Amino acid sequence: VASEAFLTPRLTGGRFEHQEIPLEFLADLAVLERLLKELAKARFLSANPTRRRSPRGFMRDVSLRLTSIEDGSTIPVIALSAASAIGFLFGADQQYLEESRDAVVAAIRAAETGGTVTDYIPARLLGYFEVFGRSLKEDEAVEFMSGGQPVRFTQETRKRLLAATEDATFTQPVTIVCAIPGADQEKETFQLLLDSDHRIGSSDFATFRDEIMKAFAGYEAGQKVRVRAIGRYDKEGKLQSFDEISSLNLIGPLDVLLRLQELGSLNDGWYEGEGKAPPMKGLTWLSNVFDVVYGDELRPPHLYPTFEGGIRAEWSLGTNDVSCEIDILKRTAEWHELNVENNAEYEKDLNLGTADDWIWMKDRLAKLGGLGSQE
Amino acid sequence: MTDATELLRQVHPSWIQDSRPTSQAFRPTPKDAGLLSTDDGDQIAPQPSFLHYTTIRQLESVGVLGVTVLEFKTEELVVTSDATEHAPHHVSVDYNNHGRKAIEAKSKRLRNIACERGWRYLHSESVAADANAPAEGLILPDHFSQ
Repeated sequence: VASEAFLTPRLTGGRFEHQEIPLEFLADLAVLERLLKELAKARFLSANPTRRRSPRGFMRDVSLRLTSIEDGSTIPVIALSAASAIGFLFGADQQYLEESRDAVVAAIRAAETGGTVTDYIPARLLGYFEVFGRSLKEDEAVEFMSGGQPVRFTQETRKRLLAATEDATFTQPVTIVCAIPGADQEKETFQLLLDSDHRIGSSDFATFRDEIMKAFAGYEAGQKVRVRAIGRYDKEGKLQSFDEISSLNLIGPLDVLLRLQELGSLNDGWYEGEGKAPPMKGLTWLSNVFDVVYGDELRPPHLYPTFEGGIRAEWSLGTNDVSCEIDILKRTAEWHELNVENNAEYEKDLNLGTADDWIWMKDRLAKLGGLGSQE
Repeated sequence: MTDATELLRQVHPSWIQDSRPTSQAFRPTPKDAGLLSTDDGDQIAPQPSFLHYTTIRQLESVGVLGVTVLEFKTEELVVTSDATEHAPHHVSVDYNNHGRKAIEAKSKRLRNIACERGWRYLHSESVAADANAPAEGLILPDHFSQ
Protein backbone atom coordinates (compact mmCIF):
# COMPACT_ATOMS: atom_id res chain seq x y z
CA VAL A 1 0.00 0.00 0.00
CA ALA A 2 1.60 3.24 -1.05
CA SER A 3 0.83 6.75 0.14
CA GLU A 4 0.87 9.86 -2.00
CA ALA A 5 4.22 11.45 -2.72
CA PHE A 6 6.17 11.64 0.52
CA LEU A 7 9.22 13.39 -0.82
CA THR A 8 9.85 15.06 -4.20
CA PRO A 9 13.34 16.53 -4.18
CA ARG A 10 14.47 18.35 -7.31
CA LEU A 11 17.90 17.24 -8.52
CA THR A 12 19.87 19.98 -10.27
CA GLY A 13 23.19 20.47 -12.05
CA GLY A 14 25.81 18.16 -13.56
CA ARG A 15 24.62 14.61 -14.06
CA PHE A 16 20.98 15.56 -13.56
CA GLU A 17 20.81 18.11 -16.39
CA HIS A 18 19.48 15.65 -18.93
CA GLN A 19 16.54 14.44 -16.85
CA GLU A 20 18.32 11.29 -15.83
CA ILE A 21 19.23 9.98 -12.40
CA PRO A 22 22.47 8.00 -12.29
CA LEU A 23 22.16 4.66 -10.55
CA GLU A 24 24.87 5.55 -8.06
CA PHE A 25 22.62 8.28 -6.68
CA LEU A 26 20.02 5.67 -5.70
CA ALA A 27 22.48 4.54 -3.00
CA ASP A 28 22.27 8.05 -1.56
CA LEU A 29 18.47 7.85 -1.46
CA ALA A 30 18.63 4.45 0.25
CA VAL A 31 20.71 5.97 3.04
CA LEU A 32 18.24 8.83 3.35
CA GLU A 33 15.56 6.26 4.18
CA ARG A 34 17.72 4.77 6.93
CA LEU A 35 18.38 8.23 8.35
CA LEU A 36 14.66 9.06 8.36
CA LYS A 37 13.78 5.84 10.17
CA GLU A 38 16.49 6.23 12.79
CA LEU A 39 15.46 9.82 13.30
CA ALA A 40 11.82 8.73 13.66
CA LYS A 41 12.86 6.31 16.42
CA ALA A 42 14.86 9.01 18.16
CA ARG A 43 11.94 11.41 17.99
CA PHE A 44 9.56 8.77 19.32
CA LEU A 45 11.79 8.18 22.34
CA SER A 46 12.18 11.89 22.86
CA ALA A 47 8.37 12.28 22.85
CA ASN A 48 7.99 9.29 25.19
CA PRO A 49 10.72 9.76 27.79
CA THR A 50 9.46 6.92 29.97
CA ARG A 51 10.20 4.38 27.23
CA ARG A 52 13.64 2.92 26.80
CA ARG A 53 13.11 1.69 23.27
CA SER A 54 10.66 2.20 20.41
CA PRO A 55 7.65 -0.19 20.16
CA ARG A 56 8.16 -3.61 18.63
CA GLY A 57 7.67 -3.40 14.88
CA PHE A 58 7.99 0.39 14.82
CA MET A 59 9.17 1.32 11.29
CA ARG A 60 9.43 -2.36 10.38
CA ASP A 61 6.55 -2.48 7.93
CA VAL A 62 7.02 0.87 6.23
CA SER A 63 9.49 1.75 3.54
CA LEU A 64 10.19 4.44 1.01
CA ARG A 65 9.77 3.60 -2.66
CA LEU A 66 10.84 5.41 -5.76
CA THR A 67 7.57 5.35 -7.67
CA SER A 68 8.26 7.65 -10.62
CA ILE A 69 10.27 10.53 -12.01
CA GLU A 70 8.21 13.59 -12.82
CA ASP A 71 7.96 14.39 -16.51
CA GLY A 72 10.12 17.20 -17.82
CA SER A 73 12.41 17.42 -14.82
CA THR A 74 14.65 15.40 -12.56
CA ILE A 75 12.35 14.97 -9.59
CA PRO A 76 12.19 11.48 -8.13
CA VAL A 77 8.81 10.87 -6.55
CA ILE A 78 9.33 8.95 -3.32
CA ALA A 79 6.26 7.43 -1.72
CA LEU A 80 5.76 5.96 1.71
CA SER A 81 4.78 2.33 1.43
CA ALA A 82 3.38 -0.04 4.06
CA ALA A 83 3.28 -3.82 4.03
CA SER A 84 -0.46 -3.58 4.78
CA ALA A 85 -3.09 -0.91 5.23
CA ILE A 86 -2.98 -1.62 8.95
CA GLY A 87 0.42 -0.04 9.15
CA PHE A 88 -1.02 3.27 8.04
CA LEU A 89 -4.26 3.02 9.98
CA PHE A 90 -2.91 2.22 13.39
CA GLY A 91 0.76 2.98 13.38
CA ALA A 92 2.42 6.19 14.30
CA ASP A 93 5.07 5.40 11.70
CA GLN A 94 3.81 7.81 9.10
CA GLN A 95 3.52 10.73 11.46
CA TYR A 96 7.03 10.25 12.79
CA LEU A 97 8.50 9.76 9.35
CA GLU A 98 6.90 12.98 8.17
CA GLU A 99 8.28 14.79 11.20
CA SER A 100 11.70 13.28 10.50
CA ARG A 101 11.55 14.38 6.88
CA ASP A 102 10.74 17.93 7.98
CA ALA A 103 13.55 17.81 10.56
CA VAL A 104 16.08 16.71 7.94
CA VAL A 105 15.05 19.55 5.65
CA ALA A 106 15.21 21.97 8.59
CA ALA A 107 18.71 20.71 9.47
CA ILE A 108 19.85 21.21 5.89
CA ARG A 109 18.42 24.72 5.95
CA ALA A 110 20.25 25.37 9.22
CA ALA A 111 23.49 24.18 7.63
CA GLU A 112 22.80 26.44 4.66
CA THR A 113 22.08 29.52 6.77
CA GLY A 114 24.59 29.04 9.58
CA GLY A 115 22.05 27.72 12.12
CA THR A 116 22.50 24.87 14.60
CA VAL A 117 21.88 21.58 12.87
CA THR A 118 21.72 19.60 16.11
CA ASP A 119 18.50 21.46 16.96
CA TYR A 120 16.91 19.12 14.41
CA ILE A 121 19.06 15.99 14.19
CA PRO A 122 21.06 14.47 17.08
CA ALA A 123 24.82 14.61 16.48
CA ARG A 124 25.08 10.81 16.59
CA LEU A 125 22.80 10.51 13.52
CA LEU A 126 24.58 13.11 11.41
CA GLY A 127 27.01 10.40 10.34
CA TYR A 128 24.38 9.31 7.78
CA PHE A 129 25.42 12.32 5.76
CA GLU A 130 28.74 10.52 5.40
CA VAL A 131 27.04 8.55 2.65
CA PHE A 132 23.94 10.60 1.77
CA GLY A 133 25.21 13.17 -0.71
CA ARG A 134 28.70 11.75 -1.04
CA SER A 135 28.26 11.17 -4.76
CA LEU A 136 27.10 14.75 -5.39
CA LYS A 137 29.42 16.73 -7.66
CA GLU A 138 30.37 20.32 -6.87
CA ASP A 139 27.79 21.77 -9.23
CA GLU A 140 24.97 19.47 -8.18
CA ALA A 141 22.27 19.96 -5.57
CA VAL A 142 19.23 18.23 -4.08
CA GLU A 143 16.52 20.81 -3.57
CA PHE A 144 13.81 20.25 -0.99
CA MET A 145 10.88 22.60 -0.55
CA SER A 146 10.03 24.06 2.83
CA GLY A 147 7.34 26.69 3.28
CA GLY A 148 7.44 27.40 -0.45
CA GLN A 149 11.17 28.08 -0.33
CA PRO A 150 13.84 25.80 -1.82
CA VAL A 151 16.37 24.31 0.60
CA ARG A 152 19.53 23.22 -1.22
CA PHE A 153 21.59 20.25 -0.12
CA THR A 154 25.07 20.48 -1.67
CA GLN A 155 28.57 19.25 -0.83
CA GLU A 156 29.02 22.48 1.10
CA THR A 157 25.93 21.96 3.29
CA ARG A 158 26.87 18.30 3.68
CA LYS A 159 30.29 19.28 5.02
CA ARG A 160 28.66 21.62 7.54
CA LEU A 161 26.31 18.88 8.68
CA LEU A 162 29.22 16.49 9.11
CA ALA A 163 31.24 19.11 10.96
CA ALA A 164 28.64 18.83 13.75
CA THR A 165 29.05 15.05 14.10
CA GLU A 166 30.73 13.57 17.14
CA ASP A 167 33.45 12.09 14.90
CA ALA A 168 33.76 15.24 12.74
CA THR A 169 35.49 13.69 9.77
CA PHE A 170 33.87 13.20 6.41
CA THR A 171 34.59 11.36 3.21
CA GLN A 172 34.20 12.58 -0.32
CA PRO A 173 35.31 11.40 -3.75
CA VAL A 174 38.49 13.23 -4.67
CA THR A 175 40.83 13.45 -7.60
CA ILE A 176 44.30 14.59 -6.66
CA VAL A 177 47.59 15.11 -8.45
CA CYS A 178 50.61 14.13 -6.40
CA ALA A 179 54.05 12.49 -6.47
CA ILE A 180 55.24 9.18 -5.01
CA PRO A 181 58.53 9.78 -3.17
CA GLY A 182 58.51 6.50 -1.28
CA ALA A 183 57.45 2.89 -1.84
CA ASP A 184 58.18 -0.27 0.13
CA GLN A 185 57.70 -3.36 -2.01
CA GLU A 186 58.21 -5.71 0.91
CA LYS A 187 55.61 -4.08 3.13
CA GLU A 188 53.47 -3.17 0.12
CA THR A 189 53.03 0.43 1.19
CA PHE A 190 53.76 3.73 -0.50
CA GLN A 191 53.71 7.44 0.21
CA LEU A 192 51.87 10.15 -1.67
CA LEU A 193 53.34 13.64 -1.55
CA LEU A 194 50.65 16.27 -1.90
CA ASP A 195 52.90 19.22 -1.15
CA SER A 196 56.14 19.80 0.70
CA ASP A 197 54.71 18.98 4.12
CA HIS A 198 51.59 16.99 3.35
CA ARG A 199 52.19 13.26 2.93
CA ILE A 200 49.68 10.46 2.99
CA GLY A 201 50.55 6.80 3.34
CA SER A 202 48.60 4.03 1.65
CA SER A 203 48.65 0.26 1.54
CA ASP A 204 46.73 -0.03 -1.75
CA PHE A 205 50.00 -1.15 -3.30
CA ALA A 206 49.29 -4.43 -5.04
CA THR A 207 46.52 -3.16 -7.31
CA PHE A 208 48.65 -0.34 -8.72
CA ARG A 209 52.12 -1.87 -8.37
CA ASP A 210 53.37 -1.01 -11.89
CA GLU A 211 52.21 2.60 -11.84
CA ILE A 212 53.52 3.15 -8.31
CA MET A 213 56.97 1.80 -9.18
CA LYS A 214 57.15 3.91 -12.36
CA ALA A 215 56.08 7.03 -10.48
CA PHE A 216 58.59 6.26 -7.72
CA ALA A 217 61.39 5.79 -10.28
CA GLY A 218 60.42 9.04 -12.00
CA TYR A 219 60.03 11.06 -8.80
CA GLU A 220 63.26 13.03 -9.22
CA ALA A 221 62.31 13.86 -12.82
CA GLY A 222 58.99 15.30 -11.65
CA GLN A 223 56.68 12.42 -12.54
CA LYS A 224 53.20 12.93 -11.12
CA VAL A 225 50.18 10.67 -10.75
CA ARG A 226 46.45 11.30 -10.68
CA VAL A 227 44.71 9.45 -7.87
CA ARG A 228 40.96 8.98 -7.74
CA ALA A 229 39.77 7.88 -4.37
CA ILE A 230 37.36 8.26 -1.50
CA GLY A 231 39.22 10.77 0.61
CA ARG A 232 38.77 11.15 4.36
CA TYR A 233 38.92 14.76 5.57
CA ASP A 234 39.17 16.29 9.01
CA LYS A 235 36.86 18.99 10.32
CA GLU A 236 38.96 21.71 8.68
CA GLY A 237 38.60 20.03 5.32
CA LYS A 238 42.19 18.76 5.18
CA LEU A 239 42.67 15.46 3.42
CA GLN A 240 43.90 12.91 5.97
CA SER A 241 43.82 9.55 4.23
CA PHE A 242 42.28 7.55 1.43
CA ASP A 243 39.54 5.08 2.35
CA GLU A 244 39.69 3.50 -1.07
CA ILE A 245 41.76 4.25 -4.18
CA SER A 246 39.82 3.52 -7.35
CA SER A 247 42.50 4.50 -9.86
CA LEU A 248 46.11 5.69 -9.97
CA ASN A 249 47.53 6.84 -13.31
CA LEU A 250 50.76 8.40 -14.46
CA ILE A 251 50.25 11.93 -15.77
CA GLY A 252 51.69 13.08 -19.08
CA PRO A 253 52.59 16.64 -20.08
CA LEU A 254 49.34 17.10 -22.02
CA ASP A 255 46.92 15.89 -19.40
CA VAL A 256 43.58 17.38 -20.47
CA LEU A 257 41.81 17.43 -17.11
CA LEU A 258 44.72 19.04 -15.34
CA ARG A 259 45.18 21.62 -18.07
CA LEU A 260 41.50 22.60 -17.97
CA GLN A 261 41.72 22.83 -14.20
CA GLU A 262 44.72 25.17 -14.56
CA LEU A 263 42.83 27.33 -17.05
CA GLY A 264 40.00 27.55 -14.52
CA SER A 265 42.25 29.70 -12.35
CA LEU A 266 42.34 32.53 -14.91
CA ASN A 267 40.50 35.70 -13.97
CA ASP A 268 38.72 38.21 -16.18
CA GLY A 269 41.32 40.58 -17.61
CA TRP A 270 43.93 37.80 -17.88
CA TYR A 271 45.15 39.05 -21.26
CA GLU A 272 46.58 42.56 -21.19
CA GLY A 273 43.90 43.65 -18.74
CA GLU A 274 41.16 42.30 -20.96
CA GLY A 275 40.24 38.77 -21.98
CA LYS A 276 37.35 36.84 -20.46
CA ALA A 277 38.09 34.00 -18.07
CA PRO A 278 36.71 30.62 -19.18
CA PRO A 279 33.52 30.08 -17.14
CA MET A 280 33.72 27.19 -14.67
CA LYS A 281 30.40 25.76 -15.86
CA GLY A 282 31.79 25.42 -19.37
CA LEU A 283 35.11 24.00 -18.16
CA THR A 284 33.24 21.41 -16.12
CA TRP A 285 31.24 20.36 -19.15
CA LEU A 286 34.34 20.15 -21.34
CA SER A 287 36.26 18.18 -18.71
CA ASN A 288 33.44 15.69 -18.31
CA VAL A 289 32.93 15.18 -22.02
CA PHE A 290 36.66 14.89 -22.76
CA ASP A 291 37.09 12.39 -19.97
CA VAL A 292 34.19 10.24 -21.11
CA VAL A 293 34.18 10.65 -24.89
CA TYR A 294 37.65 11.53 -26.15
CA GLY A 295 39.43 8.30 -25.40
CA ASP A 296 43.02 7.34 -24.60
CA GLU A 297 43.66 6.07 -28.11
CA LEU A 298 43.84 9.63 -29.47
CA ARG A 299 46.64 12.10 -28.97
CA PRO A 300 45.67 14.69 -26.38
CA PRO A 301 45.49 18.24 -27.75
CA HIS A 302 47.35 21.28 -26.56
CA LEU A 303 44.75 23.47 -24.86
CA TYR A 304 44.75 27.25 -24.60
CA PRO A 305 42.27 29.89 -23.44
CA THR A 306 40.77 32.23 -26.01
CA PHE A 307 40.34 35.94 -25.51
CA GLU A 308 36.55 35.48 -25.60
CA GLY A 309 36.47 32.96 -22.72
CA GLY A 310 36.53 29.81 -24.81
CA ILE A 311 39.02 26.98 -25.13
CA ARG A 312 41.12 26.27 -28.18
CA ALA A 313 42.43 22.77 -28.84
CA GLU A 314 45.36 22.37 -31.23
CA TRP A 315 47.02 19.31 -32.70
CA SER A 316 50.17 19.16 -34.85
CA LEU A 317 49.62 15.98 -36.86
CA GLY A 318 52.32 15.47 -39.46
CA THR A 319 51.74 18.07 -42.14
CA ASN A 320 48.39 19.09 -40.68
CA ASP A 321 47.89 21.90 -38.20
CA VAL A 322 44.48 21.25 -36.68
CA SER A 323 42.53 23.53 -34.36
CA CYS A 324 39.14 23.45 -32.72
CA GLU A 325 38.00 26.66 -31.09
CA ILE A 326 35.26 25.86 -28.61
CA ASP A 327 32.56 28.11 -27.17
CA ILE A 328 32.25 26.18 -23.92
CA LEU A 329 28.90 27.69 -22.96
CA LYS A 330 27.14 27.31 -26.31
CA ARG A 331 28.96 23.99 -26.88
CA THR A 332 29.74 24.92 -30.45
CA ALA A 333 33.11 24.90 -32.16
CA GLU A 334 34.98 25.98 -35.27
CA TRP A 335 37.16 23.25 -36.71
CA HIS A 336 40.06 24.23 -38.96
CA GLU A 337 42.77 22.22 -40.71
CA LEU A 338 45.77 23.59 -42.54
CA ASN A 339 48.05 21.36 -44.56
CA VAL A 340 51.36 23.16 -44.18
CA GLU A 341 52.83 21.53 -47.30
CA ASN A 342 50.20 22.49 -49.86
CA ASN A 343 48.22 25.12 -47.83
CA ALA A 344 44.98 23.17 -48.33
CA GLU A 345 42.40 24.10 -45.75
CA TYR A 346 39.30 22.45 -44.39
CA GLU A 347 36.84 23.93 -41.95
CA LYS A 348 33.62 22.86 -40.31
CA ASP A 349 31.24 24.17 -37.66
CA LEU A 350 30.61 21.65 -34.91
CA ASN A 351 27.83 21.21 -32.40
CA LEU A 352 29.65 19.61 -29.49
CA GLY A 353 26.40 19.28 -27.59
CA THR A 354 25.74 16.21 -29.73
CA ALA A 355 27.50 12.86 -29.72
CA ASP A 356 27.54 12.86 -33.54
CA ASP A 357 30.02 15.71 -33.81
CA TRP A 358 32.32 14.26 -31.15
CA ILE A 359 32.34 11.02 -33.10
CA TRP A 360 33.07 13.00 -36.26
CA MET A 361 35.97 14.75 -34.51
CA LYS A 362 37.45 11.48 -33.28
CA ASP A 363 37.19 9.88 -36.72
CA ARG A 364 38.73 12.93 -38.33
CA LEU A 365 41.66 13.00 -35.91
CA ALA A 366 42.25 9.29 -36.46
CA LYS A 367 42.31 9.83 -40.24
CA LEU A 368 44.78 12.69 -39.86
CA GLY A 369 47.16 10.51 -37.87
CA GLY A 370 46.02 11.44 -34.39
CA LEU A 371 46.02 7.90 -33.04
CA GLY A 372 48.51 7.12 -30.33
CA SER A 373 48.77 8.76 -26.94
CA GLN A 374 51.68 11.11 -26.34
CA GLU A 375 51.45 10.45 -22.64
CA MET B 1 63.35 48.65 -40.64
CA THR B 2 64.02 46.35 -43.59
CA ASP B 3 62.48 43.16 -44.88
CA ALA B 4 65.03 41.24 -42.83
CA THR B 5 64.07 42.98 -39.58
CA GLU B 6 62.75 40.59 -37.01
CA LEU B 7 59.58 41.77 -35.35
CA LEU B 8 59.37 40.63 -31.74
CA ARG B 9 56.15 39.23 -30.37
CA GLN B 10 55.38 38.62 -26.67
CA VAL B 11 53.61 35.36 -25.75
CA HIS B 12 51.21 35.16 -22.81
CA PRO B 13 52.02 32.39 -20.25
CA SER B 14 48.62 30.75 -20.84
CA TRP B 15 49.36 30.59 -24.55
CA ILE B 16 52.15 28.09 -24.13
CA GLN B 17 51.74 24.46 -23.08
CA ASP B 18 54.55 21.91 -22.95
CA SER B 19 56.79 24.51 -24.66
CA ARG B 20 54.40 24.88 -27.63
CA PRO B 21 52.77 28.27 -28.27
CA THR B 22 49.27 28.61 -29.72
CA SER B 23 48.85 30.21 -33.14
CA GLN B 24 46.61 32.77 -31.41
CA ALA B 25 49.87 34.53 -30.53
CA PHE B 26 50.04 35.53 -34.21
CA ARG B 27 46.62 37.01 -34.71
CA PRO B 28 45.13 40.16 -33.20
CA THR B 29 42.63 39.78 -30.35
CA PRO B 30 39.22 41.53 -30.59
CA LYS B 31 40.58 44.48 -28.59
CA ASP B 32 43.35 45.14 -31.11
CA ALA B 33 41.26 46.54 -33.98
CA GLY B 34 42.92 44.13 -36.38
CA LEU B 35 46.47 45.23 -35.52
CA LEU B 36 49.03 42.81 -34.09
CA SER B 37 51.50 44.49 -31.73
CA THR B 38 55.21 43.77 -32.15
CA ASP B 39 58.53 45.46 -31.40
CA ASP B 40 61.11 46.42 -34.02
CA GLY B 41 63.98 43.97 -33.51
CA ASP B 42 66.44 46.42 -35.07
CA GLN B 43 65.63 48.95 -32.35
CA ILE B 44 65.39 46.73 -29.30
CA ALA B 45 66.78 43.30 -28.40
CA PRO B 46 64.45 40.48 -27.31
CA GLN B 47 65.30 40.57 -23.59
CA PRO B 48 64.86 44.37 -23.18
CA SER B 49 61.64 44.06 -25.20
CA PHE B 50 60.44 41.42 -22.71
CA LEU B 51 61.47 43.56 -19.73
CA HIS B 52 59.75 46.65 -21.14
CA TYR B 53 56.57 44.64 -21.66
CA THR B 54 56.59 42.94 -18.25
CA THR B 55 58.07 45.60 -15.96
CA ILE B 56 57.23 48.97 -17.54
CA ARG B 57 53.88 48.00 -18.98
CA GLN B 58 53.37 45.34 -16.26
CA LEU B 59 51.88 42.80 -18.64
CA GLU B 60 52.44 39.04 -18.65
CA SER B 61 54.77 37.28 -21.05
CA VAL B 62 56.58 33.98 -21.09
CA GLY B 63 59.05 35.03 -23.76
CA VAL B 64 59.61 36.49 -27.19
CA LEU B 65 59.18 34.97 -30.66
CA GLY B 66 60.37 36.57 -33.88
CA VAL B 67 58.99 36.84 -37.43
CA THR B 68 60.63 38.98 -40.10
CA VAL B 69 58.95 41.84 -41.93
CA LEU B 70 59.28 39.87 -45.17
CA GLU B 71 57.55 36.84 -43.63
CA PHE B 72 54.61 39.02 -42.58
CA LYS B 73 54.53 40.62 -46.05
CA THR B 74 54.50 37.20 -47.69
CA GLU B 75 51.22 36.65 -45.83
CA GLU B 76 49.92 39.89 -47.42
CA LEU B 77 50.00 41.70 -44.10
CA VAL B 78 50.90 45.38 -43.92
CA VAL B 79 53.68 46.30 -41.51
CA THR B 80 53.78 49.83 -40.10
CA SER B 81 56.13 51.41 -37.61
CA ASP B 82 53.96 53.40 -35.18
CA ALA B 83 56.20 54.15 -32.23
CA THR B 84 54.82 56.23 -29.36
CA GLU B 85 56.32 57.64 -26.19
CA HIS B 86 55.07 54.63 -24.17
CA ALA B 87 55.97 52.12 -26.88
CA PRO B 88 59.05 53.58 -28.60
CA HIS B 89 59.78 50.50 -30.74
CA HIS B 90 56.21 49.55 -31.63
CA VAL B 91 55.36 48.09 -35.02
CA SER B 92 51.82 47.14 -36.03
CA VAL B 93 50.94 44.31 -38.38
CA ASP B 94 47.59 44.97 -40.05
CA TYR B 95 45.21 42.00 -40.53
CA ASN B 96 42.17 44.11 -41.43
CA ASN B 97 42.05 43.18 -45.10
CA HIS B 98 41.53 39.50 -44.34
CA GLY B 99 38.63 37.35 -43.16
CA ARG B 100 38.55 35.03 -40.19
CA LYS B 101 39.42 31.88 -42.13
CA ALA B 102 42.36 33.52 -43.87
CA ILE B 103 43.68 34.87 -40.57
CA GLU B 104 43.41 31.40 -39.06
CA ALA B 105 45.72 29.95 -41.71
CA LYS B 106 48.12 32.91 -41.63
CA SER B 107 48.49 32.72 -37.86
CA LYS B 108 49.29 29.01 -38.03
CA ARG B 109 51.94 29.52 -40.68
CA LEU B 110 53.49 32.44 -38.79
CA ARG B 111 53.52 30.49 -35.52
CA ASN B 112 55.35 27.65 -37.30
CA ILE B 113 57.91 30.03 -38.80
CA ALA B 114 58.52 31.61 -35.40
CA CYS B 115 58.86 28.24 -33.67
CA GLU B 116 61.26 26.99 -36.30
CA ARG B 117 63.40 30.06 -35.71
CA GLY B 118 63.25 29.40 -31.98
CA TRP B 119 62.60 31.55 -28.96
CA ARG B 120 64.41 34.88 -29.22
CA TYR B 121 64.12 35.16 -25.47
CA LEU B 122 62.52 32.74 -23.00
CA HIS B 123 62.13 33.77 -19.40
CA SER B 124 63.77 31.08 -17.28
CA GLU B 125 61.29 31.20 -14.38
CA SER B 126 58.41 30.83 -16.82
CA VAL B 127 60.12 27.86 -18.43
CA ALA B 128 60.73 26.29 -15.05
CA ALA B 129 57.09 26.78 -14.13
CA ASP B 130 55.95 25.15 -17.36
CA ALA B 131 58.39 22.27 -16.97
CA ASN B 132 57.28 21.64 -13.41
CA ALA B 133 53.59 21.55 -14.21
CA PRO B 134 51.50 19.85 -13.03
CA ALA B 135 52.09 21.19 -9.58
CA GLU B 136 52.19 18.86 -6.65
CA GLY B 137 49.23 18.82 -4.34
CA LEU B 138 46.84 20.26 -6.86
CA ILE B 139 43.47 18.95 -5.77
CA LEU B 140 40.94 18.86 -8.54
CA PRO B 141 37.28 19.41 -7.81
CA ASP B 142 35.51 16.12 -8.20
CA HIS B 143 33.74 17.13 -11.40
CA PHE B 144 37.16 16.89 -13.06
CA SER B 145 37.33 13.25 -12.10
CA GLN B 146 34.18 12.22 -13.91
